[in-house]
Amino acid sequence: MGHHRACKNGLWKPIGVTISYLAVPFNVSFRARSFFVPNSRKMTTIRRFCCNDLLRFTSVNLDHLTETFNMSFYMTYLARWPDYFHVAEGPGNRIMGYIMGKVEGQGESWHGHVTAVTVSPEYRRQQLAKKLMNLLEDISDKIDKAYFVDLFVRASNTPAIKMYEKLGYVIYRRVLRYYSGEEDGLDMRKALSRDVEKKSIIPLKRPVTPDELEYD
Amino acid sequence: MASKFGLAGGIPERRVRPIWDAIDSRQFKNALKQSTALLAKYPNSPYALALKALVLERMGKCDESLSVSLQAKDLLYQNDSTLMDDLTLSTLQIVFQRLDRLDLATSCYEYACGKYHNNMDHMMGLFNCYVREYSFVKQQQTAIKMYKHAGEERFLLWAVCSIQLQVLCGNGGEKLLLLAEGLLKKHVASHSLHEPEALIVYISILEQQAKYGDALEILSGTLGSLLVIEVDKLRIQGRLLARQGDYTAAAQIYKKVLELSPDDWECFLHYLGCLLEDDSSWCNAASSDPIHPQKSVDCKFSHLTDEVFNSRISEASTSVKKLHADTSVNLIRCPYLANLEIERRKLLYGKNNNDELMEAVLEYFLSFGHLACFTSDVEDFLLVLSLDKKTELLERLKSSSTSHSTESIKELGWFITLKKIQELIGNTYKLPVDELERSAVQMSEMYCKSLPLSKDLDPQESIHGEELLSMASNVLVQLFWRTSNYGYFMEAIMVLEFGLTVRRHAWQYKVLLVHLYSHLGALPLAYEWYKALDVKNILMETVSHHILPQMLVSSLWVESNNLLRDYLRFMDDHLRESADLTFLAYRHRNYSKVIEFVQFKERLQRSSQYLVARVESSILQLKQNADNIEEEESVLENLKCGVHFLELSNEIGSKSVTFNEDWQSRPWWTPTPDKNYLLGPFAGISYCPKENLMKEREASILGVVERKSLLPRLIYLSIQTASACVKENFEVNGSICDPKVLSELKYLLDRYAKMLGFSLRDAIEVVSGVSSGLNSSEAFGADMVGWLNFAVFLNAWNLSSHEVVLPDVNGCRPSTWQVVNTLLKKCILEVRSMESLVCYPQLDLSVLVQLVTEPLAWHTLVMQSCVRSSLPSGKKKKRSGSADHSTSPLSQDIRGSVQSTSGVVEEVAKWLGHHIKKSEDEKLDAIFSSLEANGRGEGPGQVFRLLGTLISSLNEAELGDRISQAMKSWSPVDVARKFVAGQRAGLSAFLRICESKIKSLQALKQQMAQV
Repeated sequence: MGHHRACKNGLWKPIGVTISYLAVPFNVSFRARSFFVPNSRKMTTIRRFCCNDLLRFTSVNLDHLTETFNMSFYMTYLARWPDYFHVAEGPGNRIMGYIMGKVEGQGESWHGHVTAVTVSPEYRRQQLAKKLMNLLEDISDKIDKAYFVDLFVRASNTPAIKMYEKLGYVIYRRVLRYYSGEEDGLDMRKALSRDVEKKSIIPLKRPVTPDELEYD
Repeated sequence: MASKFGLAGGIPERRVRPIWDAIDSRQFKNALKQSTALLAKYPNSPYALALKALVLERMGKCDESLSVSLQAKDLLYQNDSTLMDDLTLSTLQIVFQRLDRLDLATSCYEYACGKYHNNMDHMMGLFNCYVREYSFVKQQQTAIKMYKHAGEERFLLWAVCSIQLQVLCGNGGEKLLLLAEGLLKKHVASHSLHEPEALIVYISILEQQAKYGDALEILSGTLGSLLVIEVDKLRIQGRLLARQGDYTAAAQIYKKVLELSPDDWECFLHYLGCLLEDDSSWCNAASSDPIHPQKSVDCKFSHLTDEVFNSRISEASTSVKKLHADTSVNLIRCPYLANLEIERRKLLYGKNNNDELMEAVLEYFLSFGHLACFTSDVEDFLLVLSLDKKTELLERLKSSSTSHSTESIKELGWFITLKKIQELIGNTYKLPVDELERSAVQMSEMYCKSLPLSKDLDPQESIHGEELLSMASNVLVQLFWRTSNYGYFMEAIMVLEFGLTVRRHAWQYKVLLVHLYSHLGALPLAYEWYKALDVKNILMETVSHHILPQMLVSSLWVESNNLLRDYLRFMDDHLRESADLTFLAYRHRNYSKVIEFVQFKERLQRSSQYLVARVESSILQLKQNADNIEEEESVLENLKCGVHFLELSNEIGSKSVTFNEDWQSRPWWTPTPDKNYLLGPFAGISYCPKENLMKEREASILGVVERKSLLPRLIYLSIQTASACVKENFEVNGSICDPKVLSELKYLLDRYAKMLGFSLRDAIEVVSGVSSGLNSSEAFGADMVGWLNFAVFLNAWNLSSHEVVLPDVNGCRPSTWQVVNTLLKKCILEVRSMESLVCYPQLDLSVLVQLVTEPLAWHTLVMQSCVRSSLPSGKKKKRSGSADHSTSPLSQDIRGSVQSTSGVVEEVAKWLGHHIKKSEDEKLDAIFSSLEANGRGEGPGQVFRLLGTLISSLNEAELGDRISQAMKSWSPVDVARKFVAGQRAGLSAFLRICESKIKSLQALKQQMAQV
């Protein structure tokens, strides 16, 4: 209810600037390809993302598959889920890529969510996205004891879907017209250790609409 | 609270809900109707008033909203029986915040807290108010009260954060940290700590006081278990030990981190730093800029004896070997790069010659040379080699790579790396022209040859070898630099446009085109490409520098306005909402983020670009309205007559301004306002001279903006004095100019002159020297516009002060009017007739635009002010004595100046018209003939022709459908046409400005005729 928004928790979100998670496309700039050097990894320091990184991720974000969100979006993630927002830095303090996500839900749907993961073209094809994803899964699993991790991906983004499948994600359900009311999204999930029976990833039989989503 | 009983601010919820729903769905009219009805029923309810105020504000009726919300506030204060519930307060708070009256919101909460002690909701609200106002001391006091009342850990940490903020961002002394430490210690003793973030804050408090030992003790005690991620804990431990000076222990810790995460590069550097007892990375951390980390070549180890150095290095080598062995299957790169770092340190210590380092680079190259990041990985290591050694290294890399040609993608990778290293080394300026040409051809050939590799890629993915075309165009730019043959420029454009035909998402190409088109006078086209980069939100802060400086000195006022408006809106929005997000971090107990958010907000607030944008957007408004003095005056009024900017200008020197631009994305050759590499050779530079020039550039940006921020005030004062001088002259009881205005104008002129590098008296001599022909305009240096502005304001001041006595020239004493007339004419016609305007590049066009839209425009305002004051005012009839106005010396001066100025603008307009009318075919011919083969197979056009051949012989099966189709659509004629149209659009925009000026000057002439 409207007025609860004004008083809930004493924080007021500017009415005009709604933070809509729904309209946010999930961005993948990383593509799995067949010519991977098996298990080769890039020397990398992965650390928590901080505000100053916003001023340094230009070359990553100019890439057209990577969305540049508004400030309150980034900062809300930093303020609420700092453990789910990591950046990979290479030699010469260059930003290689980053992942942002959150943890939410109730009961058995308590889960980690990947909001965006992106890798600069210079550092692609080196399994960095995998490393970042694994980190988020680890945190969801070990620190927050979540049941699963999920993410949304454009139904047309075959390379990304393939990559997530390689990382152990399955298509849980299709979300109709999730992306700006046009393209369908796929909700992909990976069960974590707490979900012993892997109940969370049993695919739904029918597609859902965005307003049926429990969390946006 | 009230709402528990289904009441909202004392009103049943069912009555309130529809209003909120209407607000949420933006049906404000409906909301207003309902809230007015509600108010009729509850006329004394502050909540009902607050709701109405909220609706009014959302409808844009700010004045009404303020008065209604003040009523609500008064009611709240007056009526003791009024329910002072949280809902009413928070609603009022929203309204006041939106009305930019944080102080009122705060006072409401202060009142509420004073009235009802120990109400946690109110205190929380009050704390939030102080967060919004950045009142750290009051935040602290409120949080302490809450802590005392509720005893919760989080409120204590709120207080501790507030203390830290006082030290880091306010003017609190470091002694305060002792207080914070004491509070924490006491709490820990009785309650321990339960949140990892609380521990991190505790440690940072100790670290800030250099109590590393205490911090380490806490970390290794029971509290340490709060940090669940082992590596995180170890990293903190390592840092504390190193800062304490216990390098041996620190090295051991870092070694452990490396064992857990073997490819953590930063950790390896710390490890090696500790072994060699080099504290530079710890000491510099505080002073260095986190956005642009300094590339440091130096390391500190002179204090180590030979023996110690040797043993430490061998220890490092052993560890690296072990890493190699442990990870050999995984092919982890850190150990390889670690070898490079070890060799680099040895070289710096004087332990080896260059060969070992080169050997290590070579080894690294053999394993990883095909990767796109190879060059940036080794960049820092090459810094320590001499140019000769670098060249030698390149040769060795080349010969070693010939043995590798197993896989085509890898082969391509190696090829690119070699070319990139060549660019990085920076010796291309020494290569003969034909070799450079060959290099560009090779790169483009390789690009084409590799296209089939990208056959199956998603259209959005980058193509294999995409960098090659950017590199080829960089070489072509360099060829222009060497030969001044503009065909290379056209070729560079063609290459990039071709690349964008194949894949339209390549942002690197777009950035290069933005600069090339700007440089060649097709700014509208450059702007198009800039827009195609989709720069938004925080990227505006880091990327705008590619286009903004050119736009600000151009005739594209609408587009410049858009750029500035979007950017300023972004910044202002962030600065407004940042405090709310800080409070969010408080609430979610992410205390380290609280500090980070406040520091980041300060960083953006002090951004140089933000400063420039604020000053420039006002100046742009002044330029746009200068043809009409009334409109100009209303702009000035909105700018508080320029007083605010004056204050800003005073502050610039004392403020630490931040520079957040991302220079990495900028090609080395791009001209910046103060440096244009394309105008002359700079020995030794062919790649990234960015770092060296950063400080220079920063100082110059500040100098310019400091001076520009004086402009609005100078313009305002000039209009004042001009008008006063006329009255003084013509009216019997004419008011003389306010001496305050005169003295302020003199003071500002003095400052302005100083910023030009002269005393007032010397500056006057410079302008009169140039105007009399004693000196050429070269005396103005690069800043002709600045000098002419000075002359214009000098004249305005002199109208009333008559202090300036110009030196005799051939027996007559010129007036300041004449000086301005001569200078405008001389400089504008001089710039206009420069060769470079007709051919390329068109850099001087921007100077011409500035001369017309700044000094000439300001001078026109002075004349408008004079004429307006000499006109018979209102219905007052012409006095009998006024007939001789027209013959007074002042009238003659004004008349002469109007005549002269309009003559100059007409000349410019004529010239522009001539250029705009030139036929397109003629221009296209010129472009394509510059790309034609010259018979000897050299010169520009080789790459261009290569692309043509490729398309005529393309193999669709090999390239795949998508790439073939894209290539078929390639049309060089369209590119050339767009370019010509872009140039023309820029000139036309300028012509429109001139025409408007001519019109306004004509109107002025007519008005004078009436006098």
